[in-house]
Amino acid sequence: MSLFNLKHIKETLSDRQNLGLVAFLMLMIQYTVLTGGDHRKIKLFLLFIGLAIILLFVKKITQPILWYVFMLLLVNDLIFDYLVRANHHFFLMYLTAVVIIYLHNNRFEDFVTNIKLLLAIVLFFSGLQKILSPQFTSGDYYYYMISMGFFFKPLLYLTQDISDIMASNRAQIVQLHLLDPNTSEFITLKNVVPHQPIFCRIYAWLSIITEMIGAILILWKPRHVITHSFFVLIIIGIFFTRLESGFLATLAISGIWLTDNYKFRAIYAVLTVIFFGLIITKLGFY
Amino acid sequence: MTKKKWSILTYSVPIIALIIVASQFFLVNTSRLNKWKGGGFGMYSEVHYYYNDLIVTNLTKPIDSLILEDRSIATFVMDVKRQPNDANLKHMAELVSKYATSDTIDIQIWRPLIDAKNSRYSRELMGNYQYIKP
Repeated sequence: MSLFNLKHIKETLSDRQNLGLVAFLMLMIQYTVLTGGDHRKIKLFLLFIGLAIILLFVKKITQPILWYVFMLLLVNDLIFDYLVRANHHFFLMYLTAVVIIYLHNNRFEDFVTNIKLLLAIVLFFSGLQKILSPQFTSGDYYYYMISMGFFFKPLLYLTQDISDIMASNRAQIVQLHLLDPNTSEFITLKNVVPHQPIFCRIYAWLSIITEMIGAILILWKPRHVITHSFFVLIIIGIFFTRLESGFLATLAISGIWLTDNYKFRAIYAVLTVIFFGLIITKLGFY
Repeated sequence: MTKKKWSILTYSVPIIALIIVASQFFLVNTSRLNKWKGGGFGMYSEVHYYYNDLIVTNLTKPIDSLILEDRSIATFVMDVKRQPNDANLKHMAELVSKYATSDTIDIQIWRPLIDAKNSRYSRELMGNYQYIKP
């Protein structure tokens, strides 16, 4: 058997329900293992009991029991740490719920509509929260993140001069935080890139517009080539700005489910695998 | 389960998502919750609360030392930075009160203030509470 059987790959890519579900299962296993928290051992025990039952006896991941286990773990974390959990924890919980509903009613069109609505909600409110934040719309937030070296890793770190400026900015801020804020005033940061304040303001508004257009396109034309070209650009844009691999993998898997085009599905699948590599190595955030 | 019941359930998840987003907006606007949390998708819209400063006056030791020594204080630091409302500031004051040198404790949360135009970084007060020992 050849390692790369093109016919087999094409068959895999044509079955978007299964491809998306396998990718989502892999993501959920990684997320559960990496975010054990206070009850790590109980969670891992439940996870592996669930996996063992599915792999040894049921032999198909469309058995809802497994997804109920994931749901239980996600809801449990939310009950105890509602205000601590990241936004993609909520997103994973919503996706798990729609997977469970789909595995019971077997209505794929309804499942895809749910994915479409959830993605639109995530993008729209992400954009709206930014519009409502003066720190964001002024470009001040991006200015801070770039000055500190928190964005565009590892690109900005490839040049020694830029790397030194970011290190100097961080050191200045650490020194300021040692002082009482009631008496200390301010420090002056060094620009990392030319015309940084203007660049940051433009980039901030570009982010807002991109998220809003993404939400509208996904709602209006969820299967269109333009929508998926735009959505892939959003994912790649976030990827180069900040390695939010867990969130990006969730977006890419949603893309697998959403598109009819198997070429786009191939792009989403490759991106998902790259993000998995970044999650498990912790090079990116989970 | 009947088909009709499933049709009611079909779009319940996006509706729940919207309810959670609405509750997050409510908490942000009424209870000083940081936009990063609460399921409202406000990540990367402002500086993360991790970078807020907790300042407490009239203590026998600096607050940073107490965070290292006292587990009850350490576990609550992020809570008060994330949501510096009066209830959380008061609770933090109660936790540190046994280390106080006087009957009055001032407790403050400061957040980073950035002025990109002038390349300035400073801090602004976002929560303040005066606690008097009972």
